[in-house]
Amino acid sequence: MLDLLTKLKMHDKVLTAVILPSLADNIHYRSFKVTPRRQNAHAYINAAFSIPLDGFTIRGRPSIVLGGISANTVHASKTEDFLANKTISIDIMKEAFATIKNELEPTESPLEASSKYRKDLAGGLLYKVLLGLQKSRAPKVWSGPDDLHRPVSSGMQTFLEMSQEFPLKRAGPKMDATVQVTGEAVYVNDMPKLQHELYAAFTLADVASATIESIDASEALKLPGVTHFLSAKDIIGENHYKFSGNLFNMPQHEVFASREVHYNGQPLCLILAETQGAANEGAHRVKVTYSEIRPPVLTVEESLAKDMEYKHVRKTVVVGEPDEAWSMVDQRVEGEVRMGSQYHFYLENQVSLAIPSEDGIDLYSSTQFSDICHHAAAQIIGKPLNFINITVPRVGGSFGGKSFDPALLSSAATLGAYISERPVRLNLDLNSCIRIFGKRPPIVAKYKAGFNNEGSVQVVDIDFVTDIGFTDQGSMFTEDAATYMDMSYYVQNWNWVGRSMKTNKKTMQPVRAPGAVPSALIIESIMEHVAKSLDKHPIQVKEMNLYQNGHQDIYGRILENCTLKEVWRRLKDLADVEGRLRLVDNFNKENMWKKRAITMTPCKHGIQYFGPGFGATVSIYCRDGSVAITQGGVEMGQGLYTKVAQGVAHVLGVPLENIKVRPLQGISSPNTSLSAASITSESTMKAAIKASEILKERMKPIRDKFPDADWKELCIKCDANKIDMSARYFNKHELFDHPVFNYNTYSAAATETEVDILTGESQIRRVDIMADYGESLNPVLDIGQTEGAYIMGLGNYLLEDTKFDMKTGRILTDGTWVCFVIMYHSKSHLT
Amino acid sequence: MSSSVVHRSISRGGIQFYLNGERHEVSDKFPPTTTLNDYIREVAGLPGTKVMCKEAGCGCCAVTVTHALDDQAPETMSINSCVCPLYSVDGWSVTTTEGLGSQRSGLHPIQQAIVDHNGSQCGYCTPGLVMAMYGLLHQNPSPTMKDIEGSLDGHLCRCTGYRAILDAAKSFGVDSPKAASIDIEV
Repeated sequence: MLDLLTKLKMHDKVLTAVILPSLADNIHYRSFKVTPRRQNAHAYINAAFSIPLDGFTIRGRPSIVLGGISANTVHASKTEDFLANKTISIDIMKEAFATIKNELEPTESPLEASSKYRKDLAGGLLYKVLLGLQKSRAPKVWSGPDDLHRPVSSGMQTFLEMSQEFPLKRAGPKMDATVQVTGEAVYVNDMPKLQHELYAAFTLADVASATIESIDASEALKLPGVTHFLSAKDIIGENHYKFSGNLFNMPQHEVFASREVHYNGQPLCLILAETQGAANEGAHRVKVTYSEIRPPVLTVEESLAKDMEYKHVRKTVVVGEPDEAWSMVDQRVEGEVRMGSQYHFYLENQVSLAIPSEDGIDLYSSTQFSDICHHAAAQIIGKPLNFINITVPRVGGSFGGKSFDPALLSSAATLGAYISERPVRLNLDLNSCIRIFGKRPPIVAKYKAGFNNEGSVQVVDIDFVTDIGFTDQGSMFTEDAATYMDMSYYVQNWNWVGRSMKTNKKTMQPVRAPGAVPSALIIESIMEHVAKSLDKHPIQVKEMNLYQNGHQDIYGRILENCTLKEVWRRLKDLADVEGRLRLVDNFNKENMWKKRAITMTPCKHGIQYFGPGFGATVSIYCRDGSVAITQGGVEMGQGLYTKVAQGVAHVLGVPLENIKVRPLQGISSPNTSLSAASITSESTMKAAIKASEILKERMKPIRDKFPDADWKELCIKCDANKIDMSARYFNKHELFDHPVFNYNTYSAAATETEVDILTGESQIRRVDIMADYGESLNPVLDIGQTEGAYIMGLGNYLLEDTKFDMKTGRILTDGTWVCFVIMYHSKSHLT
Repeated sequence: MSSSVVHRSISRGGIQFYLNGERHEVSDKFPPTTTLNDYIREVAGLPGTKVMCKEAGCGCCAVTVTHALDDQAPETMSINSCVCPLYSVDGWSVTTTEGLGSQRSGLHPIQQAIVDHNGSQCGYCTPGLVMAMYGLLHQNPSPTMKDIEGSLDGHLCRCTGYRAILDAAKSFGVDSPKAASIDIEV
């Protein structure tokens, strides 16, 4: 068969049928495909074994065929020779294992698992097959030949409801779920095409560090349908998409590179055309000449070697007396933690639509931050902010990725619309989104921890080095990691140094919990390491070090209402962690080639009301009493609209069905905060509640006069009395008297995992999560956020990364085939 | 849906097919690379079918199609419309989530199940999942929960972590604790 596939010349031939003869009764056949996830993934290795057997003796030569070793499918010929006519025994199996590992030479490639892993995997698969044939094997290797068993999944959620405050705090579905399931929900790119609308496409740099000599669009402009070519020279106002407020320390990012290219994928110019196809083709035909192309810097190590630290933003935090503490400790561990770069992978790609109006531009953007898009659009054409009329309809996922970068699209689309005097839609495809936009910053962290003989950690020293890309804006994530360095653990002495490194990559962007994700990985690794060195279970060591009520955190704040230990203890009981640990121990004793483990992870997560705040305008239509709300938050799936409506329904005493929440508009919600960091729903809801209370107060004299009037009658009477039935409230964000966080949430997870030692495949068997978010505004929506975040975190830690061509700096993981977004049949591998 | 399968077009250069029960005659004016997804979203004006990866890797563009190979019974299944050439659907019947239900006409049981189980967050993967489930129930009207869980791997969701979506889908399993017999036809 392999000969047929590799040697048959197919020129002028058509294959009409392939007939596979059935295998003889004495043939033992087994095949494997080991992949990062079950669907849509290239196999690390696939393998097929066909072994003619007589009892435990191989009769003749077996056939062992492997894919994924090199570009071609290969026979493991030496192993086939070795196994011919052998009787299977432990010694033969060991020798076969060594033979196959020695004869295979997997090619190294940045998108493949390591050569070493693929050799080990080939050996492991052969071992599995032979072990399955060895009938007299010992009980503890019985499970060795099996694949990991994955039963049908199931889930259960429990919560308390505060029924006296309904519909506030009621667990209920999202009001907009109905239009989402029917496809009636309108995202920016679902807005119908306007007459004379133009489509846009960027030309991207295909080098990572270079000086532009010239950009020649003459071939692009010859294409039928291509109408405009816009580069840095055509910009009327300012060539950057910067937030003009003082928030986020945002440096200038050019919309179109004017001279220097800083990363592969950087936008250089924009092509406008009558169709998306013509725009894309035009963008490809733009010829860019560089006067100098330099080798890119793509790793933390290289950046360190070239002394490319952004030294002005180095972050040093000293808590307690670390130097003294080191002299007191009984024991110490040290190690290194690495984390790669996760792409947000929102399902709705980035898009902006700019439509010239009679005296300005109507702008629609898929963004978490209308203000920055608004500012960038006005800046690029040198117009005042009131020239731009921005609307942010619902957003199809964002996870931090639509915080700052959408301003690039908003400004480019606005420039296109202003110059062409036609509507311009700039909707990027997935590959462009992955190449252009910033991702989670990769880290390399070295740690040292000192602890007593019981496992109480007394001092931690962390050298945190992170790749933040080509501008220092990414240092905000170094700050953020420092903010969360202690996570859930009470350690009194810290020495934390964060170095932000420059590389030829797009400035890193916030990705879901940008500070907590690296910091949790580091401190959890430390706790696991301490436990291992003491030969204790990590759960014991973690429990001993948890924050509890009355402890002082690293900012000097005494923790009040700290329920972390309570959450931990109750989760441990509810999930029967102790009982299951015994089962796991037994399982591990009885199974040599499958191992299971349970660990628990705590999470103290600080909530910070940053930015100016959120406003809401509540309007009551007097004729029928229906209510409409416009507000300053972005609905990106979190259920913001539903929570806002619940709050208003509660105050006004009207059913939820009477309320509609409308998208963010710049005219009614100017100067608004970035919708991020889990604060938007509650802050916007508070604004809407306050606005409703203002209305209620205005209506009170009428209500007092007509205590029995129903809602509609009351509204009609308010109309007759000329009451202003629209009110706005701006919920100004303040930290109150707290140094960093307004409050903490406390949660914990218990996770049971299983690994197949022969293949490195692993799976999650069970997860229990308990969370104390205070009184939830809508428990089922908060559960949705919790589950989604947990799985996205698993993806980050276990599966997802961004890989580069080291010569050109081009991102290789630029599509669904290679950017392994976690699925529910994902496995992870120690590759 | 089988009742609305049309015979193959005999006119040269054009095709005809049904979209949500409505007959569409398409001349040869579009480039051959035009996809079914392009047509559904931009020509037919039905943006409920989403588009994202354009390489059949995310599933948000899924629609169900009914077609018959020569002399065989018509078959209904879900496909990724982003990789389906428009001019290959001659004689087919295509259904999108708008064809299953709406605010006005009421939700289809599959749509309702997603709502009831909080299976939509940002909602961008949702129509594709609804149509995948609809296609699956045509392929196998009595699936087990395992069949269902094994069938939806082609659909990415970044928001939910999948549990809520799978719960909604598995409520159609014959072995589901809450199994309800439904008429999937609209």
